[in-house]
Amino acid sequence: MHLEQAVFSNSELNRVFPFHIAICKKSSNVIVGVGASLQKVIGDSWHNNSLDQIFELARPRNTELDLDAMTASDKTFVFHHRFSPLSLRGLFVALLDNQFIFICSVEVMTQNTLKELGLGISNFAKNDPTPDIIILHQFRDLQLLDQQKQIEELRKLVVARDTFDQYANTDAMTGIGNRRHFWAQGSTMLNEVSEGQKTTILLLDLDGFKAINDTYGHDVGDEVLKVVATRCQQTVSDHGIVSRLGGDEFVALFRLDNLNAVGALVSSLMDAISAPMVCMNRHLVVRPSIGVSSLDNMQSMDEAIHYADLAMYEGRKKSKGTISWFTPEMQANEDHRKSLLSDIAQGIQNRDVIPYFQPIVDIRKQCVYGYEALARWEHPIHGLMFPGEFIELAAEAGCLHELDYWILESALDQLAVWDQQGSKFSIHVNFCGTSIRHGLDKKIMKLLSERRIKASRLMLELTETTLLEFEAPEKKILNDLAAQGVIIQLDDFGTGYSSLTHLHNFPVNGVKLDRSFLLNYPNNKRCLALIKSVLGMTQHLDMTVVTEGIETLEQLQWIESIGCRYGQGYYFGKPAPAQECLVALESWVPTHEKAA
Amino acid sequence: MYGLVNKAVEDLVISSAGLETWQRVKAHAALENLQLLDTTNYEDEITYSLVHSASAILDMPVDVLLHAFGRHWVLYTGEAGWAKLFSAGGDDFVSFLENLDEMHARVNMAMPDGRMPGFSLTENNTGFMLDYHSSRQGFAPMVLGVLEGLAEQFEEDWTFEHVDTREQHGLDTFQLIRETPVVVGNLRNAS
Repeated sequence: MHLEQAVFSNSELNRVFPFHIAICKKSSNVIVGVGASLQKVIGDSWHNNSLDQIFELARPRNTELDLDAMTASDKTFVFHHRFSPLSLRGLFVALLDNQFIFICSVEVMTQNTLKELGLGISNFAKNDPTPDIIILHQFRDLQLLDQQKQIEELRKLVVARDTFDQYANTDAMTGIGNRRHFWAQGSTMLNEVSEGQKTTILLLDLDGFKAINDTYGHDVGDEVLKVVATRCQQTVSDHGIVSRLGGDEFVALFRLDNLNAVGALVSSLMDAISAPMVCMNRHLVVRPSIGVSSLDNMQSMDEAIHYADLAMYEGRKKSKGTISWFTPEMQANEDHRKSLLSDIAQGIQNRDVIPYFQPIVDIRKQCVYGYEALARWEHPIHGLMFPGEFIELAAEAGCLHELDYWILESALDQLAVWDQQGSKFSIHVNFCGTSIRHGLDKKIMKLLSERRIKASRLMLELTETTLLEFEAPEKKILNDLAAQGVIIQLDDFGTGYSSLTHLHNFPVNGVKLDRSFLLNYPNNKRCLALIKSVLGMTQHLDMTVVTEGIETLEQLQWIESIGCRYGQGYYFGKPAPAQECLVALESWVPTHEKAA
Repeated sequence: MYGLVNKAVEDLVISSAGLETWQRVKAHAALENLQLLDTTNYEDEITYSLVHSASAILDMPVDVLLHAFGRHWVLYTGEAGWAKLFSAGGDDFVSFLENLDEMHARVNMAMPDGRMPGFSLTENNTGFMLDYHSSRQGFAPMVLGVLEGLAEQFEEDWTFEHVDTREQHGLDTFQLIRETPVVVGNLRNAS
């Protein structure tokens, strides 16, 4: 079907094209009618005016107002109302009798277009999408706002994450990295390939830091840590990372071309930290102990730190304030130590740890007065081991008190045996502080009673350091033991505090002078003088004195000459198993006879 | 519903009872971390949950709250980026209601996931009857609040009565009666 001609009523035209313009070409393009919505905007100004007088053809540019040509064209035309912001966009259709209609709607330029023109949705034809542009614009604006909000939320999240990250990885006191930071960064560094470079880990611990805290207060201590952190950072940060692990312990991981460079950096770190510092008006010098590991095959942070820790530990055993380099032997020693650590408890239970006995001689009477029971570990693999090799391990394994009790019990058993054989000795047994526990007095008295041994024949040897750790309960146990006749002797006297207070405050009946006093006899006059003065002092306090370390006849004669009654040392006999003691005793020749 | 609606609930609670109360409302609805965006379409359950939580926290019956929300909705949409559209809705209260479906239809183009309500206005001898159609239940009190808010917005005096309810009559219908302005001169004559 071909539509030749359409006839619209005015109201129909208005309903479908509320912004139309009807033009008569015959009358010089005069406007003969407009749609109701257009009328609302431009009023009656169009009456008796041509299209050109009321509207300016804006697009396409440079187009002649030729209605026939414009109708024949497929182009869209835009007219600006000459007296308002209104723009109309549409196309021309030709009617009969040289009449034309510009079918159009409002060109939306801004979101305010409709408002400025006083138009509402009802002014548009139902099928005219022009108002939708405004809605879509508004929706787009809201979307942009939502996007901005999301971006802002994201930014806050990122800031919060970064802040948390910073907080979680920074040591709050010093501002350098913390353990977490070091583990993360260090692990990455260890895993990275570093062609031709030495990766080195360094553990650093301040010597005497506790004393700084105790003496000057924690504020000064904290300042010291900050200064040390800064110095570490300045020295190492060009080559690696530095962190504070906790307390006064710092760690660094860095890469350098060769071991010489590593050595130079470690030395300059030692120098930097050891340089004088002023903290809260206190002039201080701190010195670190440094453990260094510079191996090529460190697999993990745990392993790397372990090596540096071992090196520092080994270095500190020899001397504080030094740089100690990790060696594979250290690991071997550590493995050996760990092996012993796992064996020690079993060793005590299996009675592989047994007392050896060393004679204590009554110099005046020229006879053996008693024996000191000294622990020896007859290890099934490593052979005979001395206390220096396993006492610390027993303490670390938490079985030192079991060891002390066992040695005490064994020694008393042996004493009972000697009693039965007709030899009356006293027995000296070493006790550590942790072994002095509630009920010890009753336990000891029971052991003595079961073996019919008088309490006064048992001498418990304690070091001054042990006494220092004692509180009232331990002191009471010692007092109870002393009250029941057990003799308390201060061991290694002269090497520690040599405090008269200890002699006075505790029920101490005698002292054992440390063997170091007789070293270099007779050249070390100062030590000899000290022996004399201790002897004089203890005699006034009515205490017995045993001088340890007598190894020669000359030493014995000198000790005898200054009035010391009891002596102990290799000259009289080395520690030996019980069965060898009496044999040795039989072959022992009194001093005077020997001298003769 | 689009976030715009939920944000209007948020705006109502915050403006009337404060931010802390809104946090409590969200917590009550187990939506502590909810960050509302205008142009995101949320499950209807979120809106129901927020409304019921606000009712519980503010100790206000749901009907009363929805009525208040209806009034607030007019104010909120008139301010929250939809003012231009609002002003294009009509020059007076009646024309606005007449155009409401048309406006919703056009808004639906921008928000295709929205399920817009429908309104049909018919004149009777006392004023107008407004039928309210919705796929959602329980929002008639809000419509009453919207009508009051619109009348206020156009500075016209109207009274409204919820004459038929969906529960009883299958459709919510409101009677709209325009108040006759009292002329001072008439009062004088009456006296």
